[in-house]
Amino acid sequence: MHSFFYYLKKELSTHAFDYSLFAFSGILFLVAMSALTGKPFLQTLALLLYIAFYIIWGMYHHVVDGSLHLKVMIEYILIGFTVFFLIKILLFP
Amino acid sequence: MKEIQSFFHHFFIPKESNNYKPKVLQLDFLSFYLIIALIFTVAVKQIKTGAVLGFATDITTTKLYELTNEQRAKNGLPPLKYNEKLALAAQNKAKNMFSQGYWAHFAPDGTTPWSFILGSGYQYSVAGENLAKGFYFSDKVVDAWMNSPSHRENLLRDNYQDVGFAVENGNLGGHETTLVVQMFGAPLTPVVAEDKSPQPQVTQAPIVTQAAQNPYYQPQNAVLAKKSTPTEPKFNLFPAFFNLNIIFLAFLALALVLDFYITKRMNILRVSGKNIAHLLFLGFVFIGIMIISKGGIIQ
Repeated sequence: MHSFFYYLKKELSTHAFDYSLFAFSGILFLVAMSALTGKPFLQTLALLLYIAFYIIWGMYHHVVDGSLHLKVMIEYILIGFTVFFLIKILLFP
Repeated sequence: MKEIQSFFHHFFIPKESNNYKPKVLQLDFLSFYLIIALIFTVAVKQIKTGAVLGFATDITTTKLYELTNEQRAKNGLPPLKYNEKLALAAQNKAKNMFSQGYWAHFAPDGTTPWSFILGSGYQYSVAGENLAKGFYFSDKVVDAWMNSPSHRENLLRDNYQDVGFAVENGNLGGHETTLVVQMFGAPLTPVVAEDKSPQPQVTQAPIVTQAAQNPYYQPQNAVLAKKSTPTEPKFNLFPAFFNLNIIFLAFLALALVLDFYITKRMNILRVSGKNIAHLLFLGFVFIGIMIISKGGIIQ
């Protein structure tokens, strides 16, 4: 467990700016979801924007990291849209 | 036993047999999750358009009534009696909000909440109203009311004697939602009748209302939404999908944590997305789901 946090800290500190940016977008997403309570259409839009940012962030991060590959991008897209469709069911049951 | 272990490792642990990436995180499995999510989305839509289901939540007037009295008991207050007239007033109010497309205590045409109470035949000396919209669980509604000073004050007012609820599903402002209306009151003119209630809290009040003629609360009669809502839900889908989302996120998060730890420990280099980014994403989405499961209340 100790080494897990060691690796985690190492990864976060290596790309501190990227992860800070990503965490900031996550906080904005949560603020939007909270502010738009009871408005599922706008909440869906906020979710879609957050997922789009997640995918774009993935591209940017891997370009900077020098590890951009089609397989990597597909991974971000698949995870992002799976989450989108699952949450959409909750917003429009 | 060894086969089971090997099977588990193949799916969750990066090793040679899975090309150093757990099977559950490989693109074919990720595609499979997306297809399943799409099937669920389409299935829900089909079920709705096929008029099998309406908008489904886990809110019932029975549960709201129980939780309201539970909160009053915690604060040393006597329980409220379920009043059919107030329930009818609440139901009419909810229907009025859907038909006139508003969500407020006062209708755009100036109709007050008190008009609905008087219209139901309940003559009050004091009355109150709490509203909620977009919630999926009864306890979340009552929790939200208890966390709002004005709603809390209404819920814990000691001069109320009766309560009625309505849970109505419908289309408000272009999207389907659930409105919850809670009407409180104390009767203006006491109707003296034989009090058959076995509850000591009820007998302490000399005033006997309409409801006291049938003092035993009948939960099945109290669920007014079931009697009149055309889009009556036959199954509660929201809790099932809510749990499905949580389970899926937990499953994916566990796989990502394991994969991150092992790849770092074994110093495995491979072409892959960043597990920490995926985990952060899932974490924010999880909190987002928690926010969605809450609704809104109006002062």
